[in-house]
Amino acid sequence: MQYGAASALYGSDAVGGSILLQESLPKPGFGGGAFVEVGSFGHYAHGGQLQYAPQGRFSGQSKWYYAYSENDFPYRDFQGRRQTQNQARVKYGGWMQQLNYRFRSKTFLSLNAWFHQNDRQIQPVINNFQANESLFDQSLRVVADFQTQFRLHHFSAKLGYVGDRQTYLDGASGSTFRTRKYVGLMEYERQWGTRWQFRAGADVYHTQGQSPNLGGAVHENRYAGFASGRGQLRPFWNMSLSLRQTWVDGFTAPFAPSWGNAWKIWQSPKHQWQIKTLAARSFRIPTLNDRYWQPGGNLALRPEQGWNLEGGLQYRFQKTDWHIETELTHYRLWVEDWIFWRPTENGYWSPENLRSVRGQGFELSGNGHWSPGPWLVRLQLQMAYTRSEEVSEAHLPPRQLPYVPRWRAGGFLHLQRKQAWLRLQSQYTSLRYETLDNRVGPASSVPAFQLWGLAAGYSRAFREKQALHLSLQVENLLNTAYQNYIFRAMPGRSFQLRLQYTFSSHP
Amino acid sequence: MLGDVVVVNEGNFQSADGTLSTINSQTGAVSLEAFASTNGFPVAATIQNVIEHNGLYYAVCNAPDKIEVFRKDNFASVATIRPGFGAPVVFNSPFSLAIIGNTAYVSNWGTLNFTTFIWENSTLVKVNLLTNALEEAITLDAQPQHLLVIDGKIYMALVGSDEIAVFDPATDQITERIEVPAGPDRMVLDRNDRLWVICNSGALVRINPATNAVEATISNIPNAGFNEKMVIDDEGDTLYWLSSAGFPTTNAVYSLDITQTTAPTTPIISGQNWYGIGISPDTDLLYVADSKAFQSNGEVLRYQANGQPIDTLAAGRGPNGFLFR
Repeated sequence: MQYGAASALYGSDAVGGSILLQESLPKPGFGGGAFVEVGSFGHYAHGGQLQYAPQGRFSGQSKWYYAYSENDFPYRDFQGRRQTQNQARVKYGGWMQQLNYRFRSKTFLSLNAWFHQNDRQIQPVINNFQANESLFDQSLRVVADFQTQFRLHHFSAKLGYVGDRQTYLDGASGSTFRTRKYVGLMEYERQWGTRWQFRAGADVYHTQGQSPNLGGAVHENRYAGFASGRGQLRPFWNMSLSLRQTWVDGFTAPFAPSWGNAWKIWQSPKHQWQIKTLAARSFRIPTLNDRYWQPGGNLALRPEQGWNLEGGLQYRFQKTDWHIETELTHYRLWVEDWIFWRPTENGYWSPENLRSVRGQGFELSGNGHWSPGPWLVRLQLQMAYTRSEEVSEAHLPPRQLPYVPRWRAGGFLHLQRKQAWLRLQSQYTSLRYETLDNRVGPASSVPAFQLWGLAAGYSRAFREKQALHLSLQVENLLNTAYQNYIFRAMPGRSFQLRLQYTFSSHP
Repeated sequence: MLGDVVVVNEGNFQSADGTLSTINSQTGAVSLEAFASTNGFPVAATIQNVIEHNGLYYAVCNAPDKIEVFRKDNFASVATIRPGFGAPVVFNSPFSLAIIGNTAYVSNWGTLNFTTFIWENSTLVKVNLLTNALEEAITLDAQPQHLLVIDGKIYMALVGSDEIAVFDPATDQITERIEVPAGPDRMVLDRNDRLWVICNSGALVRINPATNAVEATISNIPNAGFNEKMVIDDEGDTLYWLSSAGFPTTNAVYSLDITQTTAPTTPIISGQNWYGIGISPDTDLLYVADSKAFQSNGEVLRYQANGQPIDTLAAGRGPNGFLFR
């Protein structure tokens, strides 16, 4: 379950994705739980869920969550004076409900509803004690999902509604942005022999946006058709191919295929080597804001489009109480017609298809598992090198995009003995530039930082199928001063204590 | 080493990355982030204007709303003027200031109405420079822009109207209103002590401050349309301003001899994303600020007064003006 703001204001695409959120049917019986959490800087949260699948045709699932953080953490300002963060309160909550009706063993209708509300103040820069900006989001998603399977044929149809509303407030003055999206999706899937799977479908989106900034109400229709197949070409060779074509009122998005391969190049009981490749065409449709914002919206925008190529080498090692997995991936991407807003000659900002971006980088990850006796030791490490560069101005060298770090690394060490566990984690982000000319300076870049965290927990089962879990988490263990965004303070060491109760009566 | 030309780099709104840099006019040496390197802390705000008074610079900033006071000779910080937490008198998007005696008068845009896009609750805030306390907010009936002290009175360009308001600090009252074309913005004094005002509706107005009478109105002035940038040379006889396009792609420099009565039709120079202008006092070199559309840090382009290019120098983000020390 993914909490947090899936705001409609700047990403109508993101909203489109989230309607496809799928919940599996609950297991027979009853299950659920609840938690409470308290933490530093005025943090508390609670949540819970209940799954009910009694014998018969009905089943369901309910969840709620709520979190509040005052975020009044102390920080040192530029002159080293101790200040308290103001205007950074965040509170959100929501409720999800699923109801299912089973017609036959593999034919069912599922109704899902999710309401989410997020009320957050916009954190000002250090030493801005007058700021008074906030965002208030509400969203409601409702989906009816019908699925049926007959032998090797699987068919599903979804109808959905997504309503979003975001209010920006600066003191008493503000504006509201609303979108309503209606979605229809049909999909057919079938198994071909034991090695091949085939899928095809179509979806329709109708979006309405409403805001003074859009000059009232605007509409957009999108249609897409897609087909894909995946399977085993040879015992050592797996392949997948996907095709997708999207049409939007007024223009046609690029045809977007994607092609993936995986070859097992060497295999023994202990070792396994595998090569993976992926080639895909990508695009991003201009948002309603890009197209209709007043002033500046540009109806002549083309979709951003690009290509991704990716290749990786994977190695696995397995022994009785040992397991290691590492993967090295190299990727390249090319994006043309990147949309960005810039000041125009008419006295306002306007989006244009101006930039070209080249990206390349690698990701290295490693994962180890060791279970000597009653112990369990897990180690996970990952690092990424990213060059994401603007290349549209031929007379200038490639320039790293603002706020994209060249290096990122992180990992954790997890120790467990029976019901008790301890975890140490760390994360590193290299220097990030504030502007496209990649200058380093107090007002031009954000320094690199490394953060450490420590968490410990204990679980205790009691009676039958009930358990209590207690955990304590320390974030920013070394009380490091750092910034995620230029001149915005971040909290020092903080603590979170969580108590969770779970039960189940699943057979 | 601090240079003799100060560049005001406004910074990107929301990023609060405004800076002050300097240029050595002889060698062309640039000192970026001169305030931060002198004081060990950055301005960390958007800098709208820097005003010089009695050996001090007053940088008027918004987001956060404050005034950084620092020494003209070595940039050492003297004070940060801002309302205390929960203070009854506050700044509200301050833009510029004027000083009379020990009182600073700060023009504040107010609050933007997101439906009409008009600034409301605009104020003139009085600051006691002995205590740095915000003493009083005087409500204005339109958005103010630049201020100029003439003969003990404050001339306020009410850009949200078609008036220059004359404010008398002795009574804290607006004593006179001078009607001009819409959007009076930047004001300078010429060698005959006449006040020139550029209006964002595209006009230049000459006012006699002795009588507050409008002596001349030159219309069809190619101008920027928003946050006009205009300077006058040291002799006080030629006006230079940025024009044509709009915010902040202002992309040409026009000039006018104060004896002329019609609008110029050809610019001296033109370019992209120009956002600030200055003219050096002795050498009459034109300093033009290129904002690079705020995507990168900006640049300073130097020209002879006749438009002959000299060189291009580094600047901070969104350079919007110059001071000559």
